[in-house]
Amino acid sequence: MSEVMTQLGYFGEAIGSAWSGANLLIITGAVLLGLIVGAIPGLTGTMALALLINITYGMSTSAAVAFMLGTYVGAVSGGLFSAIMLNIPGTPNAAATALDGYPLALQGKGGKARFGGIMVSCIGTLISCIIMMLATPVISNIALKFGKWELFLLAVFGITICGNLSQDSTPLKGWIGGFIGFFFAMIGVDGLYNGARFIWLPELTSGVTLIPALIGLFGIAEVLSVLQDRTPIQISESMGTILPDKDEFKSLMKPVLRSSLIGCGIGAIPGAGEDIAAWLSYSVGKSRSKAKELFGKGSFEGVSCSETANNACIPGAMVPMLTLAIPGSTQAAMFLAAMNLHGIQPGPMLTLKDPTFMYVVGLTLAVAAIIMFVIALGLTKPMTKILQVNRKILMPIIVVLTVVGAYASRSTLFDVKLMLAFGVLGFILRKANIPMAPITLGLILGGTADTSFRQALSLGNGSILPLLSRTVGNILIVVVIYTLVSGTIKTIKATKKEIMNREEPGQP
Amino acid sequence: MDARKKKSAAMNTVFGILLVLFSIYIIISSLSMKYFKSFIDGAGFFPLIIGCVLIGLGAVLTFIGINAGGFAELKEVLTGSFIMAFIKNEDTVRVLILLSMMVVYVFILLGNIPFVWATTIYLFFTFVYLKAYKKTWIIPGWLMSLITAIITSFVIFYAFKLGLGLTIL
Repeated sequence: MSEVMTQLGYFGEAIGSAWSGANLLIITGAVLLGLIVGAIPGLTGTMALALLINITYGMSTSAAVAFMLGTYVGAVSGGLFSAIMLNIPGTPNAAATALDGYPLALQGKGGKARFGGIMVSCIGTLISCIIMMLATPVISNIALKFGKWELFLLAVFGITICGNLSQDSTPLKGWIGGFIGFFFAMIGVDGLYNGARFIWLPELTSGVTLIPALIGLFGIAEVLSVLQDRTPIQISESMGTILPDKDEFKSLMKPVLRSSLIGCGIGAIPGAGEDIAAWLSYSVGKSRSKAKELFGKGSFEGVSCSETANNACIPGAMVPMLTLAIPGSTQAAMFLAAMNLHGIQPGPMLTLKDPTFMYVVGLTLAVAAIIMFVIALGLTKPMTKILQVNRKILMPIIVVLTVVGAYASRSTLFDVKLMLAFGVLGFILRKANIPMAPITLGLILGGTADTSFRQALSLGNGSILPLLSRTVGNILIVVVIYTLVSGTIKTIKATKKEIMNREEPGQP
Repeated sequence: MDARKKKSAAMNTVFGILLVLFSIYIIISSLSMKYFKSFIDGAGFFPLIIGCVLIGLGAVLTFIGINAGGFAELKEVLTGSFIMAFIKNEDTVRVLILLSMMVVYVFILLGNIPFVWATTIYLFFTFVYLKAYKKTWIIPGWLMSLITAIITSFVIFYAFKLGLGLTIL
């Protein structure tokens, strides 16, 4: 009982910090920015957050939290506009929305689809915020019992599960991405005995700077991909009425609640992210729906499933980030980098050092969702004009912003060059279908995995056997093995199918 | 097999082989890294594990690529006519030119001339190459590109200088 009262006290303190007048203004501006970024095809929330990390440097911590989270909520929500109006998802997490949103727009129900999408995005975030604020203290308490061995296993679990989820067919390329990220984290002087590793240039002695690398992977690589694509944009402007009728409202209640839970749960899985949440929720929604035949042809339920889940994923992604310092999505990884810049170290100790912080995050997300609902409704009509922005003008300007963003972290030109190098690498890896999320996660978790593993082995006098007596560690080993085995079976099955298709070209 | 699958098979084969070669480099480098008491303590231990895992993953990817007809496709790809067609492909040329402009901007212009001028030059040539502005009856496209480039460069420079106290390059 006293623990509940203590947590309520922290919650009360957090209200004052998260809902101050200045923060509300910052959230409003950030949500607006996020909505526009999310709506414009080619500009992703991750890219925006990567560029904005350094802008938060001059802000107070609470203002930085408000700014980053406001942009995050806005960017994830904004994707629905272009998905419905252009049939091009503004962000990857709105891809499932386009399947039903665009057909609805063609049927003259674009207004209802947009209103419904915005409304469920807000509800999904709010439900997930409540779950996040209830779950975080519990998980934090468990995380306090984690030792070096468990931290290493968590890092490995993070990239294996992320690899499993980030590719449709097989996890192979996801795992490759994760271990490539691990490798980049090894560059520089090692964290235990200052041993030199892969220092090809003197500037790499302190390692690969995280922020320029992330800006390159998500900024430059994205710009090159967008400018390579010359598909002209055609906007469906037919809106029809905006408000759904009573029956439509009622029919959405169950899918929204279910999708909120799916979104929050997927968010809590390291690196999984909003797009996986949206697709999974869409496919579960389709299998459970009474009107399956409408999915893909213009179903409000379909739009609701994906839009609720991708937004519910945001608070969910905060749970592993706050308690274990393992981001649940690439956007959460950007938030983690911003918090590190402000001297906040998420992880098991956070609840002891700053017990109000997780409530500040939860309440900021909740208020951002409500503000997003209001602003997005206001933007429903002007968005037609915003979406017509000339990408040939916008993208080169984004390049300049990536340069400034990379330079700002340490004021060295080397970081700008590093950013460009990572941009080119990111572009090539995208062409080879290597997903970016595991690389990001590997880059962030590589250092922890390395030092934790070696320290754990030192505690066991170089042997792994003493470490096998730890209960939490053993549970994690089982989970990692299960993830690896299921992924391997998936890969073998896909390879066999490929071989059979090749041998029998007539077969489907 | 459709063209997309063929391309993917060739890509997997090439990427898998490159990954195996790179992993060998990681393993050799890791083994030569200094250590204090035992190799397990040393800087090279974890990179060695990474190298071993990547070599396995690279081998599997190569195997998958070859099984899907990647080698046969690669033979086709490596013919002179295909390479010429790839180099002449409009999308390839576009990306290479845009990338070259970025390289010139970052590696040559920045640091040697003031940020505002470096950025103006980069933006102007990129806008002109992309034909970002169409010719109107009174203002030619290149002039609009130049005006936008100058205004954008100054706005970004002063926004960061006044807003964040950051003097760029």
